[in-house]
Amino acid sequence: MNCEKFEKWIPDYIAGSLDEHSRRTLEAHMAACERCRKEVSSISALWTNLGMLPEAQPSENMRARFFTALEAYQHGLEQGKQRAHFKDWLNGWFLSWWPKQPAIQFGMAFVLLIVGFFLGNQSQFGGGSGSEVRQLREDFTQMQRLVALSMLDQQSPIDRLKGVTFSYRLQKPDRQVVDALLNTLNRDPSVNVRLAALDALLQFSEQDKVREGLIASLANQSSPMVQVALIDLLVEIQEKQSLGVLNNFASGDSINTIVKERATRGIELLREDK
Amino acid sequence: MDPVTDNELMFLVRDGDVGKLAILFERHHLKLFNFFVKMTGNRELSEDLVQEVFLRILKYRQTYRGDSHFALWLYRIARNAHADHFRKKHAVDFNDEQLEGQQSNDPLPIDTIEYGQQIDLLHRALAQLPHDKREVLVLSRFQELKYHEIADLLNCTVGTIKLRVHRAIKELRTAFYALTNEKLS
Repeated sequence: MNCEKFEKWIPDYIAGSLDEHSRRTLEAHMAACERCRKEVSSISALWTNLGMLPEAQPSENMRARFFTALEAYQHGLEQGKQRAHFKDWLNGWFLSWWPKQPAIQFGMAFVLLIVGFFLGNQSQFGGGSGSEVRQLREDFTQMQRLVALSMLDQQSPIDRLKGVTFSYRLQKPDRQVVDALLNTLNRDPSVNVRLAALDALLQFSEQDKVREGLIASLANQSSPMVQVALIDLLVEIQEKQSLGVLNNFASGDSINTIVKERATRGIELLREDK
Repeated sequence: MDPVTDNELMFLVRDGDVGKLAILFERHHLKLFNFFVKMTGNRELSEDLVQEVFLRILKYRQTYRGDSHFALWLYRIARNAHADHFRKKHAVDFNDEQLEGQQSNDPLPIDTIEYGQQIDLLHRALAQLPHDKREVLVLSRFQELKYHEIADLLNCTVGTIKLRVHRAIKELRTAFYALTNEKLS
């Protein structure tokens, strides 16, 4: 092997990373070749001397700076966590209220816009002119109505429940909303939504149409829970027209016993009121 | 030996236990500081750069994957911080004067003046090397990185690194002899 090939081993030789066999070969070659011996020993000496260079010492200030920075970072991290926690909670809260359907989202946004406009208008002009405010109120009610209606029409029972809840905010519900609530009471597959619709209808029980609807609905309900709730409500509003249907329930053969008892008791209560 | 490895500590830092960085700082700051001193010849700047490296570790802690030695990741950040500093400041690569100042600040006993002179000359010779050659020498000799690790760090082959080390040390020898002759004449 010529000297040039041995040269390639020098970096590993000085760093102590040359394998045992190669090291012996190189050392044997150095014993025979003066040029290589001198070359390797001068490089090795320099390499060793480099190791003698003293380690520079940083000022104490460097450590202090690092620990100050680390502490500040930790502090920031803690605060960030708290903020994130609050943010998660807030997002969760908003999400639980925010409808999933874009159409309803649009409706809600519009309602909020109207509310904002209305409030802004009031604070800026001390109430604004009567007709404008009336107009805005009407628009607002109209939007609430639309939101309630479209929510009642949703796939998700939770959205429909929200729709029912929304209908409570309507001060003067129109026929369409009452129809939608009655429709929900009669057709909704979820007992919970039907019960919620029933509760919502209670506030409109002054209307004949609602009372008629409730009586008609009782005859069609299949769930004992809803039947019981309906009977209770009819008794509460003292709807004597319901006596016929209640009689059917009290004397029917395939009626749930609790429903039967409730109907019988309802009939008694309505008769006492005469 | 400390039972907790650098990698394990850095994983803890990555996952939010940033206080553990203090241990990594204690283990590495001196070597890192000396890396910068040898690369820049400027102590004050080196302290700033060490600070910058540890701040970057905090900033990028979530990118730590631990698939190589922690020190390699550390020096990758260190090289970037160094390069960014020179890009921003258009600063001189090596401040020889500062190093001379540093040497005169460390008084040496009179009987070791020859040794002291040698060290001074070695410092100067090292400072004369081009940046890339000085870097491989510093990384292999002082930071004790293996050639394959330096190759990984510098994105080249081990053969290239060995060749560069060989050339670097020969060039250092030439510079050192020239400076010694200058001193003697």
